[in-house]
Amino acid sequence: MLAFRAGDARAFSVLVRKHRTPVFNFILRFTGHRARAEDVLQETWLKVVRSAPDYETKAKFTTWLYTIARNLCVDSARKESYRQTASLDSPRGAAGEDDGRPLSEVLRDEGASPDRGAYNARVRPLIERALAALPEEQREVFVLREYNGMPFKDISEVTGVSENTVKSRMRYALEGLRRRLNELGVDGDLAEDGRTVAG
Amino acid sequence: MKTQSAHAHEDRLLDFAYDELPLSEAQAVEQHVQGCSRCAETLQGIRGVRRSMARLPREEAPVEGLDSLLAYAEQSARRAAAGAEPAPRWWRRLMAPALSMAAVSVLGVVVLQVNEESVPTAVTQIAFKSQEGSARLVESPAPAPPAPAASAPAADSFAEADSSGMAVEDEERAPPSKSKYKSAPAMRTGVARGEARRERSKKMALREEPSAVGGAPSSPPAPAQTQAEVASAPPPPPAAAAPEPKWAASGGKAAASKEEMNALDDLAEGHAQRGSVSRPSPSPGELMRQADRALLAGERSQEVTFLRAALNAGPQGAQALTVFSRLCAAESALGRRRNALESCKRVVAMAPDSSEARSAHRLLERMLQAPEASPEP
Repeated sequence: MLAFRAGDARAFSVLVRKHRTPVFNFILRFTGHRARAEDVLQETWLKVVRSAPDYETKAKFTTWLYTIARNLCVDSARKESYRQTASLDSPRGAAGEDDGRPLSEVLRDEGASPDRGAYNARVRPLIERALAALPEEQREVFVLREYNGMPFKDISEVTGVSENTVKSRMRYALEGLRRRLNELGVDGDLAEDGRTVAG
Repeated sequence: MKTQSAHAHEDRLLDFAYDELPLSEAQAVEQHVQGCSRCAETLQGIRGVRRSMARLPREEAPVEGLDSLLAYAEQSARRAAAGAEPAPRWWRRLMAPALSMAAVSVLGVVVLQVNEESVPTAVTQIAFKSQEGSARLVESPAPAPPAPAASAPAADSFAEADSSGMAVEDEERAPPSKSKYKSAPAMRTGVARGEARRERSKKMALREEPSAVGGAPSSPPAPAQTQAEVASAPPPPPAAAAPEPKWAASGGKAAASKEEMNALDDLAEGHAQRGSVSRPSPSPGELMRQADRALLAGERSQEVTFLRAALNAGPQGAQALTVFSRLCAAESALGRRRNALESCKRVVAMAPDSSEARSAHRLLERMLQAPEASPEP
């Protein structure tokens, strides 16, 4: 980042290649909406370019980058506040994969498939919905920790709260997800390889 | 239950599950979990959620907009490398309005001063010219009449005499026969303003010397250019060194008191407030008394100036005759031939049978018999 600030455009290209996909996944799972996530991703990198003169070396670049992305996500969420997270019990949209049936019925219909790859593909929307159902402050902590591998200390810098608060939110997020996944019949023990994303 | 309880490691399960504990602490928590069903259950729940959530695949970032983003970054990097646009500092942003205000204020003051100097009343212009004329004529061996008042009945003749007697001014600007009334509008033009300022600077420079020598009221130093001009000029005779009255800038009204003189002096040099212009003008009698004091002090040039000011103040009847008579004598004594001729003729015309007329007649004869010392410009 310092090289880019000094006028090296190639340095920025390196940064983009390295961080673009992780940042996009964070934004996508924070917003839960692909089109919005793409817009926020572009805004994030534009803001990185514009804010390069203000970048301070004492901050980690990843912390600085995710702070920008997170703030833009919050702004976007406020603008799109009319978009309510779809309830598991509410009918899905006409364009949904399950013909408007509640997710619980879809899962019961499909049952446990011996093909774990197919099972994972089928439960993916449920997991996405369980994640989207989390409160925003819990979701951002969980995503940063679980999918982006960011330590709790750095998350506290990104979100602007204490590390203890971050861990507390993380516990609530894990408990909320566990409860929701149980309701959906998604069993973590049935995962294909038993590995986590970032852990 | 918490840190002080048997499940003291419960709070660290989260860090343990995400491998954020140092190795020694991680081993301690692991040993505890093996013997603690509650912590083991909690840890199992965390790991189960993580495994479930791990089924979300990593999405690839879209490539749309990547080229334009890199192009934008390259452009920005070029600007940064060139350093053409340094980031404005906070104090620059704060100082910019203040500096603008200061610049506008200075400009306003300058404009006010220039207007004040370059758009005087007709009488003020005449007064400046008369002062200038008297000062220049002292420098010049050739006598020349000073400028009279604008509105006096004899103004026309004096105006002609004045315009023809402005030795230096005529060299610089006006033809000898040009009336000052015709040139007055020109004084309002840009060129005339510059000349007026230059001439005023010269006048003030001439006033500097008596101030320094004679202990006259202190005045700001003249501009360097003016001082240089004075230094390059031949040393003025003692009459020119006498402190001239500083009534000219007040619209041709002489200042009666020292305080007024100071105030008017300040005004003439562009430092006075506008309010000082509105002081009451002295009467012809007061000005004549000033002329008396100048005569007693041997300052004939100053006497002439006060007498002209008295003429501007509008003397009536015998007082006007006395003023012209004294002007006739004073101008003649100073060798200002043309001015003296005009004053003396005026006396003769006003009261042919008076003693003043007879004195004027004698002076006229003396001046007409005497050859001109040098051609007047």
